[in-house]
Amino acid sequence: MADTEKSAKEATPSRLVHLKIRRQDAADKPDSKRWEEFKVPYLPNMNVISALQQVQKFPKTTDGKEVAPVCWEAVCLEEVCGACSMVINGRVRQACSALVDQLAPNGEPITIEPMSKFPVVRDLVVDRARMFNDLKRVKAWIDLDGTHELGPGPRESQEQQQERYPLSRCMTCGCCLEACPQVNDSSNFIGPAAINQVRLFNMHPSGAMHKNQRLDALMAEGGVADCGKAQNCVEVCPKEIPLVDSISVVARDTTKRLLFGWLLK
Amino acid sequence: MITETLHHDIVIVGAGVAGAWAAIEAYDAGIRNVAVVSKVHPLRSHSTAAQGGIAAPIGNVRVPPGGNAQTPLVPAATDGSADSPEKMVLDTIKSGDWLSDQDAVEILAFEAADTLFAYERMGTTFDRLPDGRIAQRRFAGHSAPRAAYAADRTGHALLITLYDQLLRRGITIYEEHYVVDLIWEDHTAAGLVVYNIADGTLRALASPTVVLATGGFAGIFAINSNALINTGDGPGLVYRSGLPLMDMEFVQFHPTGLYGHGVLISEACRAEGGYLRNAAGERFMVNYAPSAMELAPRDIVSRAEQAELDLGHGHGPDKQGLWLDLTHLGAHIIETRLPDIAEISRRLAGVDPLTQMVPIQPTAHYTMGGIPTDVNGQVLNERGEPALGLFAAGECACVSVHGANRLGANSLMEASVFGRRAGRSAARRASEIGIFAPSTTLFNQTLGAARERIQSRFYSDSKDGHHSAFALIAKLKNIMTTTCGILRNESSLAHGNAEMAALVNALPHIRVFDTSCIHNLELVRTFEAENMALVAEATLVSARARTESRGAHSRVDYPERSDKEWMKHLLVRRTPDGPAYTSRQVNIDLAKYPPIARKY
Repeated sequence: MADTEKSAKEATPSRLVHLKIRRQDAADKPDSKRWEEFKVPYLPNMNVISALQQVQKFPKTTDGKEVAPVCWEAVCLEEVCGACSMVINGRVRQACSALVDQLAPNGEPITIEPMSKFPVVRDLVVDRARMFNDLKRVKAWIDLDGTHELGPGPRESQEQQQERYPLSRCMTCGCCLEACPQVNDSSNFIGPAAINQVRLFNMHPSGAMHKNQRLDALMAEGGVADCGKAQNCVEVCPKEIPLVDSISVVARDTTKRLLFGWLLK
Repeated sequence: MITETLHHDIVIVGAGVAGAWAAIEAYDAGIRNVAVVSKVHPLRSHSTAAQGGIAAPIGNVRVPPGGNAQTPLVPAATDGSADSPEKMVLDTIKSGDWLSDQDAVEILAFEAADTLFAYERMGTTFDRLPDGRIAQRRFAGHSAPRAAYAADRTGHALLITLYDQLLRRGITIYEEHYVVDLIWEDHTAAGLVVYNIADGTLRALASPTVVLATGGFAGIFAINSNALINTGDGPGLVYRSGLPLMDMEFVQFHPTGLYGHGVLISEACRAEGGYLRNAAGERFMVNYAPSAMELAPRDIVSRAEQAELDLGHGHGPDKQGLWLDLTHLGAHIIETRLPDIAEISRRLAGVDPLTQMVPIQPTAHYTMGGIPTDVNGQVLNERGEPALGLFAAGECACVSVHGANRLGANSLMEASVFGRRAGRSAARRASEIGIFAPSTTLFNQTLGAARERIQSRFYSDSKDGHHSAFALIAKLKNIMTTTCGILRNESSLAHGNAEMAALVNALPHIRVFDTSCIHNLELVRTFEAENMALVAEATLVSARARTESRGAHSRVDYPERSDKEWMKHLLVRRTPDGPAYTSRQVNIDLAKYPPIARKY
């Protein structure tokens, strides 16, 4: 991405970006949890990642202490990879699209914290393994053995594609889990992301063959019934996935399965 | 630091489209002990950022009779007669400016449909025609509308499809593991040394086959469209091993990077009818490619832009900005076919493309060159012989499909087709070898050496005479952009070569301030700086050696293509006496594909 070195020199030295960052040295060192503050030169169109890159280059706190560089995750810088989720000024979002101009038009301090619903690895880095495990749990795939000489797949109506495509935009960033009040230490609610995957794959003509297995995975403890309908997920999803719709569709399908299953007995 | 050796039949480095395909194919070929190593979680791989489409000549749509480049497309007959692999071959060779290898291009074009249908069967959310077939769109340089797409996030749609299949197969994934060394035994690949970024442990992975699928290295330029992770790790490992890199001078600059940022604004914007304008509002392409206009191939459009900027026709404080005008397309096309582009413009530039022009500038985007391979992904040495056990595919490799300039939408298909082939080749070799028992001493020694090298990076005393990886990387990018950009000449390249040589010499003096073994990004940046500097060196020396202009390599002092002297691949490798060059003839039937000047 754009190298900020040159523009840093040209920028007015008077304008600084003030960052207040929550740090922690390691998962097993909760005592090291602390706030550190940094001031870095402002650049036009700066986002939180470019501000954090400046901190990384010159990791010196506002009280003049040289510290280890702040750790964070970021990859694509265009809000499609899902890596850079953080809690910025109290709201979970992608740091690459969090513009300094909008967060702090008058140089207000910007607070940056790691997501709280995942174990902290270090500083702003968290471990999202549960999300990838949940993809396995709900079998978020099409069953297909061998990929050769299959010919064109089943046709799909434009209407269905336009319904499925937004669901497929999930980038496993974790924002919806972070915002969900039902995802917490005392519950094992699977969260909106995996439920949305169930809807996505159950809509696909081949995926539908394992529809019931996916629904069963969400009928166990921590499944779709644990949703408290707070609707925070849809508010924070950077890809504007209709997560609440997905939860209601899947909840309806599990209810049907429950009734149908009971009738069969 | 704890060390151990783990055994696999196939280890794949990189989990983007090429790497994931290699793993799936190897597994489906019956090799169960397949492992994928990635320095990030697979879903963060840069393939996810590919936007516009994936090329396959299935001919689902066509331009209506009498239509032009802007006429809306209509569904074509279901017999596929609207397009053909032969046309795709010709388009690719022409765009590659006669540096593509015909055998590789033919494989790409003839295996494309099968690969696209595999994605479709695995559930990729491709856009559809009214009759339910896969929709296709125009792409610059393609003579038929050939790009299948999922809105403007095609790469993401493909990557998640493949990742789901990795999960389904239960393939071992070493995520957040960085490869620090390739291990060789008797000139044959025997495994890797990997550093676990999460906890700082160092391990050896013993494997009779290694597949490199580490992606491109356009991240060595100051303005680029790449993710932070695109640092040339695979080519760096190969180059350090004394093996050659090929066609490194060919770097594609994409015409529409977001101004001042570099992030990509998809070519789909021009495919859907967007205009390029200079600061005065003129559609300047009329002076450079009067027939194809904005839909000319990327190298031609980027050069036209650079020429406009050099004439002082740019906007912005540095006069390096131009405009992408979508305002005439209307809300429907922008919101349905280019939703993420609209989003990027609004969120990253604060511009609404419905009513305002988007500020853009050319951005380093794709590296055509890389690790030379045959059509089965087998890595080749400077004499064209196999480097046994080592395979490569995707952007880090050079097979060579793209020649001197890649055609849009060909990269996702190339990474897919050749990722599949590399996976199958690796599987064949793994089953031939059967039980693999490399020397334990060799592994212990390599691990020990790697451990010492890492420990020597940490500060022991003062900072004097030492460098930080962050500063060195910033300097490196600056050298590349100022001396080896869109337009090149001997004096800039000579200067760049000298500066880069000094930078390479400074590499051993990088020191790491952060002493933590948990997620030590400064140490990872140090590893990456070495690979970036080596691929930058290879790019600069190759650009200086090729005294002609071809495709994306544009020499102001040698403005013409010289087929007599230069219709050949240039290979460069490291020796104690500096870079050594060899060349290889382009595999092309000149009677079938007579070289013509590229005019659009």
